[in-house]
Amino acid sequence: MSGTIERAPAGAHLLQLYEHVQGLTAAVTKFAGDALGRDESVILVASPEHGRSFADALTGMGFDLAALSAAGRYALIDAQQLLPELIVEGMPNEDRFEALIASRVRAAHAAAPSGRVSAYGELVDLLWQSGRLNAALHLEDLWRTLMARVPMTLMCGYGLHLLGSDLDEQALLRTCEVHSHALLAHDRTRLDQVIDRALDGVLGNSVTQSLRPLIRATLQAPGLLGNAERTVLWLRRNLPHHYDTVLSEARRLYGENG
Amino acid sequence: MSGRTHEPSDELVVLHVEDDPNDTFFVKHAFDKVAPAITLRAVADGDLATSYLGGLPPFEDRVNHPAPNLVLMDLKLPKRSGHEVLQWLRAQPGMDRLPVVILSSSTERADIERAYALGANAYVPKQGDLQGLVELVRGLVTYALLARTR
Repeated sequence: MSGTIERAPAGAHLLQLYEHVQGLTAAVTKFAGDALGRDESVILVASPEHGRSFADALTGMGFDLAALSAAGRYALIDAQQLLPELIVEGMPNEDRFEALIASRVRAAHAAAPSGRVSAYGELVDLLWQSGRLNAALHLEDLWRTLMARVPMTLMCGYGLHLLGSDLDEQALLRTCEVHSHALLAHDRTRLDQVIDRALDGVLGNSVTQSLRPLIRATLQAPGLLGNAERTVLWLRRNLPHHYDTVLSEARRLYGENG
Repeated sequence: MSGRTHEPSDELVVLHVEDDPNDTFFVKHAFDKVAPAITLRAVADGDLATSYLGGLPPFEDRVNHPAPNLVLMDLKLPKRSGHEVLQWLRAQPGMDRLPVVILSSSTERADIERAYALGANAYVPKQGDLQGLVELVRGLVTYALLARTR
């Protein structure tokens, strides 16, 4: 599973996992840049920090964002400002979603020469990071309903600290279930190596050599995640008494390598 | 419901639940190659699986039918499906931590999701080659030993 893809499949509902803004910026601006190059309209719903990073990168790629915005083909929306307006009694409200988001997507669709929209959103991430998983999943449902009506591709950004002590396995798996593809903006090779070295260090090389075929063969539902994520989740489920030690070692190695 | 409680065994005991005699043969072959000292018991349907796990007749003699440390189970079984066995097993006192690995030819998302929802520890597709099966069994034995030493 790679952090960037050559082309997002049309109509895909992409889960973009990220750890740092640099990786996220590379992934989102490739997604948006490719879409603009295909004469699609682009809507980015992002935090102010991320939005600035995306806009700077797209400008650096040669896109005239002011002109695209004036033509109705580009919009950058502040996710932190939008989210409170969307929520009623703790959950995203369908009518407000229509007024605040869907209407803008439809307008972008009308302005797109290709008749397609590519949208990136972090509203779900804001809900997820604050522990409101059910609200995040309900918002994903609202997006999916919109996707059934407007030709569009959607990328949802979720911050994931795989080596963090507060990894919520169930939240991650439930989030994967509502997406068609998962993309990983981490340094894949380094993360895989760190996890492997941590396993070797804690369990011993012969034990991990024996376990690897079983871990690699184990199917997760859905099967969207990369080797490092699947190994961590496998350990957490099946060898919980070793999980903390392995993750602690992995964090040390990850930090050690800078 | 159960005749005898699930008592941890000093030796490693694996219960293989599979109705296809070819698959049973090849799994046994792989275990014999990887870990000939372990005890492998096989039953061919879901009702026999629950009877074995519950220590019910004809498996009430725990000397000859020791309680397993690992269950390796297909989903598509006669009499009671692997999902149903799993659901029954997780409802039994003392069996919530018994490692259960589903070994199935189905890669249907619904089957995988349901297995995990019912408490499976891992879901592994049946291996198409013997070497792959041997490597898998080696991993299962290692896993069972590690899971036992808590």
